[in-house]
Amino acid sequence: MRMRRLFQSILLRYMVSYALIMALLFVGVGFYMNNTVTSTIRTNTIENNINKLNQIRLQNEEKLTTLFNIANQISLSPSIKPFQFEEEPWNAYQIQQQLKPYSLTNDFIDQLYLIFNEDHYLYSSSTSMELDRLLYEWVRFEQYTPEEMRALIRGEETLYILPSQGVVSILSDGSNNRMVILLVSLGMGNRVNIGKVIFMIRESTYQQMFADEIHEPGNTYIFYHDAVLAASREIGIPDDMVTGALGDYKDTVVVDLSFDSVPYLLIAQRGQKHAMQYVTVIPMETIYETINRAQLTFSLFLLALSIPCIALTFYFARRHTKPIKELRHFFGDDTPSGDDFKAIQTGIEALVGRNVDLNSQLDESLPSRKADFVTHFVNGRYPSREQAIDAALKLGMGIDKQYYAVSLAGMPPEGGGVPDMQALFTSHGREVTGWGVELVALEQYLFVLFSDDLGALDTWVWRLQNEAVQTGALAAVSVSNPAFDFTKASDAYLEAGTAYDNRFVMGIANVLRFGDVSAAAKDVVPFSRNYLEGFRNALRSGDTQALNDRIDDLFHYLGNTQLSLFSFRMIYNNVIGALLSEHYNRQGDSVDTAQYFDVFSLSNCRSINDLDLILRKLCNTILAQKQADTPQAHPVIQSAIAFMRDHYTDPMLSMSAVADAHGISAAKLSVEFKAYSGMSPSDYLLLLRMEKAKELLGSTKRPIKDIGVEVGYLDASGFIRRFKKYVGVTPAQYRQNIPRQGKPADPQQASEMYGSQPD
Amino acid sequence: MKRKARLIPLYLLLLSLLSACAQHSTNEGAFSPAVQQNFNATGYPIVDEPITLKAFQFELDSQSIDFQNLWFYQQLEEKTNIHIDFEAVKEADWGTRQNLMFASGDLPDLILRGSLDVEEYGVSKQLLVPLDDYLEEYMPSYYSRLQSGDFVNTLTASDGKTYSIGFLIAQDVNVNGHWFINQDWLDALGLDTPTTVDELTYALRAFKNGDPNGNGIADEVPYQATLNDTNTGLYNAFAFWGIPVNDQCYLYIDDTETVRLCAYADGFREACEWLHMLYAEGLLDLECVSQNSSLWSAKINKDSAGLMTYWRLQNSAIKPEIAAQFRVMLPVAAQGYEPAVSSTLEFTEFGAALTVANEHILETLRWLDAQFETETMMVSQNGPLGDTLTINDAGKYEVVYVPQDNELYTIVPVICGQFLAPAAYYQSVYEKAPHRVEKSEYCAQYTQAGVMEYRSYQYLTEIIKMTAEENGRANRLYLSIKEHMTESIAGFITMGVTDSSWQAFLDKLDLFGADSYITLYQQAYDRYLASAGRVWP
Repeated sequence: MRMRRLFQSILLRYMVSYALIMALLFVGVGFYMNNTVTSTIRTNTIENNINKLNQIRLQNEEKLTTLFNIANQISLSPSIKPFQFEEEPWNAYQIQQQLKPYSLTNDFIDQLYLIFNEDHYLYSSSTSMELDRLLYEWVRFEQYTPEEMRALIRGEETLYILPSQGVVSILSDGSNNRMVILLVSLGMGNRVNIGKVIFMIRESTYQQMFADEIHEPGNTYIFYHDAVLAASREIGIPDDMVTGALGDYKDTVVVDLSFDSVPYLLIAQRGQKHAMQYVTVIPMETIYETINRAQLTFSLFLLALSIPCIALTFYFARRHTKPIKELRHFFGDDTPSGDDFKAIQTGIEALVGRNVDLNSQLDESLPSRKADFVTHFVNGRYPSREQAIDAALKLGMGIDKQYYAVSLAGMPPEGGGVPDMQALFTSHGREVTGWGVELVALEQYLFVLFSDDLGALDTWVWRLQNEAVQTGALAAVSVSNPAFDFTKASDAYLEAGTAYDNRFVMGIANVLRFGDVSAAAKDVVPFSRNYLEGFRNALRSGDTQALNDRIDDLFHYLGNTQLSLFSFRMIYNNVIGALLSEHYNRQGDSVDTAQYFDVFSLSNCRSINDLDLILRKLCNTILAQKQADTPQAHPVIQSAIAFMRDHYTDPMLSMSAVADAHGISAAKLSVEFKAYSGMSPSDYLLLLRMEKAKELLGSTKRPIKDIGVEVGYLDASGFIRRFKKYVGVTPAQYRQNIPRQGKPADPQQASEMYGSQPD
Repeated sequence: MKRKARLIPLYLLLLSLLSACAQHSTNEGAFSPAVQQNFNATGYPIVDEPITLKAFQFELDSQSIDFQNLWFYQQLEEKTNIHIDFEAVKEADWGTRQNLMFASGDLPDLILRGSLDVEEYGVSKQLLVPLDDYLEEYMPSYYSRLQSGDFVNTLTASDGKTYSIGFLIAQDVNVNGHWFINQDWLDALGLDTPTTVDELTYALRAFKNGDPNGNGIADEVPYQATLNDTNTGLYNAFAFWGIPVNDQCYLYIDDTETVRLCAYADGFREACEWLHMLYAEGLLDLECVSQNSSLWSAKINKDSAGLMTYWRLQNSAIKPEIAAQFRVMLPVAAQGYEPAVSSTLEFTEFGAALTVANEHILETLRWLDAQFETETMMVSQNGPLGDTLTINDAGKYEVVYVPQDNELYTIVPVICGQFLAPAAYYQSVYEKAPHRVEKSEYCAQYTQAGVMEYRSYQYLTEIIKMTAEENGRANRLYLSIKEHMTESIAGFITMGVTDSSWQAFLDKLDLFGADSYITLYQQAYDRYLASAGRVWP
């Protein structure tokens, strides 16, 4: 219903526009017709009638000429001689035979008679006839008495033209025909008026001559002098009125007539022979009708034109309605108020809006949801294999494979998105599928790979690494052991992370496999025990050469053994620890050496070369100091350090208290202390407190709050905040991880834990 | 699919062409039709399952007849189960189209009305089916009428076979101009009807001088006539000398089967002299050789007359009160001569023929014969019974009225249909209009009086066959002989016959080839007698 109303409303607008255009056309052209066409039609009508009169004139003059020729021929014929019937009746038979050709060949003539002056008989091609019996018995002329007629027949004039009159003849069953009669004397040639030829022409023959192809109502006349020779009358205007209107004119005249208040148009043309005039009278109505006809034709034309136009209007209205209807249908909304292009516009705007949303959803949502899935997967969020597969399927990810593995790859310095995994799959076969996630904070890419073929997984990782080496796009690639339990992907991730961390010790030339890393850690303990003893001895003896040899040994070992980062750090922890304890024992505490014990620096030491550099520098520094005898100690600072060691558990201990205790200003203490130790006294105090807290967390089960108080923090939350800032994790998390060394719950915390945990 | 559908009409056309060819080939040389299961030898319908025949139909130039939808043929189809596909051909095109049709070999099943050269297409080319063996059995209505014999049967071809069905509307008329004498005038003068030329001359003189009209003026015209009009002409007067003059050929056949030129007949000069005598004495109208029949009737109506020849008394030219004065008169006999009045013939015209392409000969013949059943035939000529036609108390068909403007042709074929009504039969079933009865009676009277010529000149002009070359020659000779005869007779009547003018007349006839003219017709007539001429009425 609503759609029909919509259609009707649109249709109405189209119709109104159409009607307006048509009305303008009507008015415009109507105006034009009235002003221009009217005069044109009048002119045309007059021209046409003059042409028609010309035709009639030419025909009539030609016919008359023919009649004169016939009379001429008869008068010249040697076989037609005047005779008297009573004396030579047989000649009558002969005359008939002579006349046959003329009447047979001329259908203009109805009857042709020949009469000689001295004879009492008329002759036609078929009969003879006594003149008196003809005039008194057989034929009666409407306008002439027999005597008058006989006078004309016997008259001296060479030509008598008797205008149309009724002729009643009992010779043709008493018929009454209107005839034009011409009496032509047989006086041509060298004979002088020996008789007459009488031509009788039916007026109907003239009327046929008057009739033209385009018949218009009107009267047509041929006037002979002032009498109507022949006429075709269709309108009841009197002949004398026509005669009166003719007046005096030269060739052609056009007169406006009025009879019975009806206007007429008279057109006349003067003939060139025999004082004849050719006249036509047409009612002005004819012209008006022609104009009306033209207008009607035009109107009909417009009407006819309007049929396809209306059809087109309907068509376009329907076309107009259809998209609106479809839009509404599309929106599932039947209530928009707009019923024209506004509605289409609204629809299109809404559509475009939706399209943008959709596109953004498509653009943003799917990859991020895929990333979410990967994150969830490696976090072990899916309680069953089926749920993981279902969740993946919804995102278009087919993970229904027997095995999976987690791989980590280093992010190139310039960053970038996840490498196109699919491209790799496409170029290397489809037995492996997988998806990646960008771990921006860690500068890593995380991949989860699925396959039914263990070899394929391995091959794929190898290829990835190959690719990485070739393009330089990836720094290192690690991979977990293949796993099959979809609920324990977190373990696989830890494995990959551990293996990845080994890149410093194992290099990035090969794929870092967790299997290799865990195997390498087993040899570390026996090595470190033996090596440290030798190293300590070399250090004590101050033998530089020996010390360098020991360092070379260490690197030789590290270089030839595939050590996990874990093992590597155990070793360098032990070595540095041994070195520093030796240093502390010899009171060789200085700013330079203290920096090597900074956990941040140490935690950044991830490669053998880093360690080599640090170790040799430290050793050389220690040896150099040793050789330069005991350094100039600062009694106040040393005292301050001792003071802080003794009192750091006191929550009230402040830098000003320490300064007061040593008789110097807090500012001076800070400057002197930093100059001596490389760190501010407050930092040192924090270090003491945190190290003690770590010790207590690991070694006791005392509540965290108590430990905080123990190390000088009355406020637990302040302790936890400081601890988290210093260690990176909360005290609780720290304690949670202590008993499970080598198996950190959160790989992201692992390096910091390891790096900050003393051996 | 669309394309295939478009080809179907083509397949049908090919199929029909193939079957048409097959039909032609099986038809060759075998005229005897197989009796078909569909055909009923008697009763209606003629066929149980409708069949269609193709007809080559003659159509008058002046009429436009929709044969296909004519009420008459629709009725006939309903009755017979036979549908006709008419190919209507105008009178003016008939000959040309017929030649073309036969030349093309695409023959219709039957040809209806018009004319047909049976000798050419039947005897010579064998394209028409000889019907002799079938007529009695399958066209009983037609056959029984054909046997009546009171007309000239022109249907038998030169090989003795019949290739066509005839058409005949017998009017029971064999004379154009009968003699009428003014009985009132005879009575007024106390005269009997003359029987000899002398008695007639006497009577004419009495008419002239005895004032039989009683107006006191000697204005009576004893013998009113024209020169050569068949009805009113002076030619009729030669019958008194046993010379049946006609202006169609100026020939007649005597009782020795000899073709004669009327000018050469004994008594011709005497007749001319007698007529001149009448003219000279004013017993003949002064204008008798120059007036036409219009003036003749104007004069009769005005002045009446003592003697005249005309078609009949009931007519549109003579006023009834004038006509009432006259009585028919037998031609009088000149001394030493037996009167011989020129006669016309009632002979069969072409009605229908079957071509060898016709596969349904028996069906076609029965369809034709259905139209010869009296009522059907009367209806085909006069319109539906109960409308324009009725059956009167005497049990005869009678025309109620004749529709204006040839409206009959929109219902029935009229003259373009089949009709065979010999005089006796026609009279027994059809109520003739009174004026027709009058004419028939005059004819019967003349025939019974034995004043008719031996053979109608129409044997020469209508029945006998001439070659095209003979025909051309005959026509050329006729035109000059006709002109000479008319002119001479007019001259003899008005100016009299002298030995020199008579000799000049004969010499000129000789010059115009009168002898070869006669020979031409004699030979053709002899040929006719030798072949089909044995069938006489």
